[in-house]
Amino acid sequence: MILLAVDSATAFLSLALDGGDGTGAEFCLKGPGAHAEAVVGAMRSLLGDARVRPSQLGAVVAGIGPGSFTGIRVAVAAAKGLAYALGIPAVGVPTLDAMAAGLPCPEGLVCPILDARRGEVYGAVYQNSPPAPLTGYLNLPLEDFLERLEAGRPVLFLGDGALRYRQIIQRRLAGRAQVAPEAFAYPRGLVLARMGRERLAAGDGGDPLQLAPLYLRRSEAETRCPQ
Amino acid sequence: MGRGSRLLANVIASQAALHRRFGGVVPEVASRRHLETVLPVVDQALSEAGTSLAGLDAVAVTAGPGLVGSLLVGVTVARVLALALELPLVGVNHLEAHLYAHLLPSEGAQGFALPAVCLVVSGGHSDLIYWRDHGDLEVLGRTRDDAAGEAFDKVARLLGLGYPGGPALDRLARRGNAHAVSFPRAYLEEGSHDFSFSGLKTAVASYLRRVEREGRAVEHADVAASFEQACVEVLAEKLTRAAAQRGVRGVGVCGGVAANTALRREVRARAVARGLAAWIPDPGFCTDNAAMVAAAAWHALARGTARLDPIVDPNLPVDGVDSGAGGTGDKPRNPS
Ligand SMILES: [Zn+2]
Repeated sequence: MILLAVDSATAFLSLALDGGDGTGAEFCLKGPGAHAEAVVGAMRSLLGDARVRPSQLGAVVAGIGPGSFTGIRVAVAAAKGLAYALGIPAVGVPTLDAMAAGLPCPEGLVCPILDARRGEVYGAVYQNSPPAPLTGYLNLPLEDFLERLEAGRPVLFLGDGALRYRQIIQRRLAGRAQVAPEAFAYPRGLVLARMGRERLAAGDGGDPLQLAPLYLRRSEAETRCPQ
Repeated sequence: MGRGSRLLANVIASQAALHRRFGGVVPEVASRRHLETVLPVVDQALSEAGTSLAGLDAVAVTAGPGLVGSLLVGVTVARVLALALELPLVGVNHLEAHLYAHLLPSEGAQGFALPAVCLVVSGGHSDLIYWRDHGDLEVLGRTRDDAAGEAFDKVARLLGLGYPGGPALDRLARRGNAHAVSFPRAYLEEGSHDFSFSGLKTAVASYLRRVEREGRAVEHADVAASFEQACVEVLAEKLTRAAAQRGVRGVGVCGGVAANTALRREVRARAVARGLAAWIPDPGFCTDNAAMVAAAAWHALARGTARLDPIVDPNLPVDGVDSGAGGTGDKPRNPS
């Protein structure tokens, strides 16, 4: 079954076609604000280059965030629209899961964090062998997030939050923290596709109408003006 | 929309109730809800039309002007539908789509014919447009400050009517005396087709403050009716005057404020006085709807002038001139 995966929660727009037989194709673009414009064209060219007709797709996978509100909506809108139009399943994978799975750290913890502005981050903590999340998906001030990592193991950080707060992180975790370079810090389409395939096989997702972003945070207006 | 631009289904998921507690449209809240409702609405429209995705020949979507987050949801979904179904995708200008409400099947707009001079009045726009022919528009004038609908919403708030204020103000005004209070009519300089409503809104606010200071009782229905009269007189006068100058057969009114009773009455009266036809679509086609978008796209496709594969443009001009609408942010705004 051929899967198409898309994530635009971070500065990197990532797409992939996964043939399910070892074949695949990936597309990645980093450019401010260009995701919404590029995403459908990127789908078209991936499909075209791989000589896959849209009707040959078996499922669509979306990175559902957390991340930029607009970005996660673009990926979810594209994935749910495509799956609905083709009458195929759609499944969501949290962007943080895909980031952690794409960068193994055998001895330690993996910690994708995204800059959530206002001094806060979106993040989660994972152990790598066997791969498993140790926390839920968090939206916290950086300091509060780092407090959860006080134990002794080395930690590999990745994501734009890690790059932005590199110095604070390294000071706080004295010697235990490593920050992955930017080229390894984004959600990879093929990793997302593999995780989506696993989720579908496990019976998750399916209905494109139910596919929804993982915002983790209400809009500012709702925060100021609670129900 | 089917052959011969026959309307087969028109489904609307209104967010008015969702935004009521914010006193205006919150872009982020609107975008989130749009993403939830877009496919169910498409699904319902297909089933009401008695067809399926396989029965489609083209997809149309609003590309702008408007709130960028909302536009992105619509355009992204429309683009992937077109990609998956291998269909053409037509981008439509929201203001132009409002004009096409005149071509939808409604009693109030029967006999509509081009060329015409039309008024697009809503929470986001007050544009006076000379509509020569399909794809040939000239904006004669527009608001220099608040849109008419914005003034309606602000005055409704002053009168404690909540959001959205337009329909509530309309109902209240029907019980009031439109000549009870004399509010200013902003005709601007001689011959101008532009509008200005912020002064009128300020006049209502200071009237209410003065009456309160003097300890007199405020007759809210009279204030509502008098405000409405001041507003619709200017709109109707400028519309019919421009139409007479251009020598067209009639005038049109569309956009959310075109559902207002006083405006419909005033435009009809002034049109008759000038020997013009008045074409005003039924209220359901005046407020935002997708039937008008389909109608605009249908005519563009029929003429080979369709803008294919659109990208989102929050400031998309209707005639090559920037309308200044749209934008991002998290503050309440008025719908277009
Ligand atoms: Zn509108």
